[in-house]
Amino acid sequence: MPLPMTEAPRTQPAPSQDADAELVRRAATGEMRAFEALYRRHAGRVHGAVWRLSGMNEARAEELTQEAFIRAWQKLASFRFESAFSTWLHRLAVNVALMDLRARDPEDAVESDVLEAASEPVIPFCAGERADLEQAVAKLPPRARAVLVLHDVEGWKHEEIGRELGMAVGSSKAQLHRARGLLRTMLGEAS
Amino acid sequence: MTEFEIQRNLRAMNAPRMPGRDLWPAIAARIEAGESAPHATRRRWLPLAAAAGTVLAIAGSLLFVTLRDHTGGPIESDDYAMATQFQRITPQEARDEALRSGQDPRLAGANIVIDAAHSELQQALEQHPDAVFLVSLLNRTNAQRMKIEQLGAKAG
Repeated sequence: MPLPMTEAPRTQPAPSQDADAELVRRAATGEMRAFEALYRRHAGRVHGAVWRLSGMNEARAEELTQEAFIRAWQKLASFRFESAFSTWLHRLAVNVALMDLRARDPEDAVESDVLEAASEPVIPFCAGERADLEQAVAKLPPRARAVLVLHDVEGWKHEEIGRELGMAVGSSKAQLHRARGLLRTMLGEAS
Repeated sequence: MTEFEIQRNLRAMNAPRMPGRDLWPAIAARIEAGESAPHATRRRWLPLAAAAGTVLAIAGSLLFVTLRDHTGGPIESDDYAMATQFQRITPQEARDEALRSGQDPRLAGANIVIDAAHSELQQALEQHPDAVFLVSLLNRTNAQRMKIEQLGAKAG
């Protein structure tokens, strides 16, 4: 029996770690209601991360969110409470999104994607509107977008990004530089 | 929009965002259908990861040897034999298989080892999807596969 949904807010407050730990212990014994409560508490953060990494593709992000929680359920017994559950879950969700990105993004297609993205201005664009920035980010080539989102939005370091994406720190920095340049180009051309 | 405004707005994007619909019924259905209750998988992936790492190391050696062979260097038959023995096929079988599939037979051994490493890493990653180093190993196998493909293309 699903717990009732809250009034469909677009954002959630940060869940407390103690309550998470108790729910994780109960869910690890197979208690679905506890896991549902974890879903309710963390769905927003997980979905937000995979939504940004998928280029703001809502349908794809919903699939990735589901996949992340299925994997979390399957791997709950391996969670050792050494970090916050939210951190573990977020990392797992990002991995799910990056695996998906890797499967859909042959590296040799990146160059043409870059050229395409740079040549297409974001329409319509009004300076200062976040939706337009999201639209521009969504148009970045997948790998460059992943680096930009992980670094500039999620606050990761280049070393972490390099490990996750299997690239050198220098490559991560170069991708970030390129992504920022493309963003400036797209936003500048359209303004 | 200035650089500062872009950075500020990017940071502001780091906010939770609820899905447009309730995903829990679908998640619960998939969990119940799979009957995959949480179970102790702790460290079970380690032997697989270790095996995959070993295979990857062998693949790297084999690729190196193949590259040297391609550029006129001496053939390291011991390494080649070790790599192919790991897969329980002989060099002749690898060459025959490569000829059948239209590949360059000189790269067949490396391709087989890379495939094995990729498969084992995928399996390990399914068991432990948050293991960062497994993703790194997987990326290394993909990079080595690309090198082999580039080498095959150059060799014609």
